[in-house]
Amino acid sequence: MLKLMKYEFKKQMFSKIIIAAILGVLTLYFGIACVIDKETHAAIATMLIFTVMVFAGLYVAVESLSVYDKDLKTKQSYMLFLVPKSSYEILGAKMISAVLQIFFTMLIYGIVAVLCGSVFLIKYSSVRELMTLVQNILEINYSVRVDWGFAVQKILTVFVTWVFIVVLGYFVETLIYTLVHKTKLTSFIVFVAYILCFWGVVSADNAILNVISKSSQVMQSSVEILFFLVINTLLYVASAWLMDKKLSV
Amino acid sequence: MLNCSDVKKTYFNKTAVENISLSLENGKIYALLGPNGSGKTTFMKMIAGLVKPTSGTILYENEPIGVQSKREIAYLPTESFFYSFMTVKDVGIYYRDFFEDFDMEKYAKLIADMDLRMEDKASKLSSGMAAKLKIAATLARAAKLYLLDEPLNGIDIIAREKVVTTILNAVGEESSVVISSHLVDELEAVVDSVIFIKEGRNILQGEAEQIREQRGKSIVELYKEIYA
Repeated sequence: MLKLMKYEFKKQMFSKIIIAAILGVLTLYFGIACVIDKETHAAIATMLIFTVMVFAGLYVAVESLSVYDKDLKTKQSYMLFLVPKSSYEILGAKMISAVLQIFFTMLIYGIVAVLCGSVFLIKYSSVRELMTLVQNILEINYSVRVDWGFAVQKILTVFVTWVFIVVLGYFVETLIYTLVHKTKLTSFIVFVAYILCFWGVVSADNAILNVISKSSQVMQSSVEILFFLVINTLLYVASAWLMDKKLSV
Repeated sequence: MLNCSDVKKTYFNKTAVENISLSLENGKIYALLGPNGSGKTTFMKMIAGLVKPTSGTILYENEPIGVQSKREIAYLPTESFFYSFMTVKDVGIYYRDFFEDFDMEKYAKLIADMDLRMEDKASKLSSGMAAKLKIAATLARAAKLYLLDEPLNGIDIIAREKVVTTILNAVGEESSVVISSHLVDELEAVVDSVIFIKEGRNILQGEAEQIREQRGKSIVELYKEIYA
């Protein structure tokens, strides 16, 4: 599976270089702004890094689905489907590499953004302001008990929903390319089907959350994580089964 | 080695392959003959595991087509299919990564014989050179069954004989080869058996020598008679 993942990373290497270059330019912008003491530009650079982080993660997700679309639509598919690997491995490698790429893209942007933000605060907040800020944080911490278990649950919820966005894409593409003859319109049909399936699953999630709306937030969050874990597993198994038994390339 | 029974493939209302039944034996060279659109490629893709039959069964060593058959069957598609970022060397590395029977030294020799260079970009090759690259990558495997779909397509008339000789030299005695082509002249002298396909059906199959004797015609003449 690692070898399959290696080639998945290679397929998306060019966009990673561009994303890294954008981060480099923005960091440089921030650095120059700090050196020449332009507070506004330093703030803009920090904000831009935060904003690009979300778009970069989204782009990597969409690109991984676009690569799979190309894998199914073009003769390039032979590279993937001639190798002696099970469909579960092939699809698993694709999904894991997509999720890892999204995760690390956003993580690296996030770290740089936090570092720039910290430098900005230290450089442009007066000592008194900084002390006030720290004091405020401490006060908040003292007055409001931080529930770390719930925080982890929230992070997990975000993670399983991001995974869902990717896994649903792979499922819809596999399904449509199994059912529909390849034409120029197939990618558009995939897009429409994706929107419909996404809406369907999110509606189901909301309906379940409505039923348990009187339960605690921890309970609601746990149910949501479980819901998406089940959905993600079902979508993965269904996609791999279709690929194994029905899909022709 | 390979048994196909009533294999059928339909795409909506179009039938590409209709009830083909045949068996392939070890150590033989088969010519899969038929004009464009007769179903040769679809049939080969089903054996390679790329296309799923609508009905019927394909058994390789008594097992359905799957991971094990892909380990032992080398398929040469008619179209170029390598990733655009790959060089000729990368193609070899890819095959080495996934096929245990792939021999990098043999690949390097075949690449040199085909006048290719390891640093060339696969996507920038001419159709003839791209065809040679596909042949080199496929034949560098020590497969038990080779499926060569129109291997001479895009290769000029001068190089064809050399390519046919390369194929014959590269394939082990125990291995079987299925070569699909409409360039029957080049294959007549080298094949043991022939399979004629017309409109998705297997209309004639047998030992080449036996067919020539029974019909009093060469395979080329028979091909012209059937498809004219």
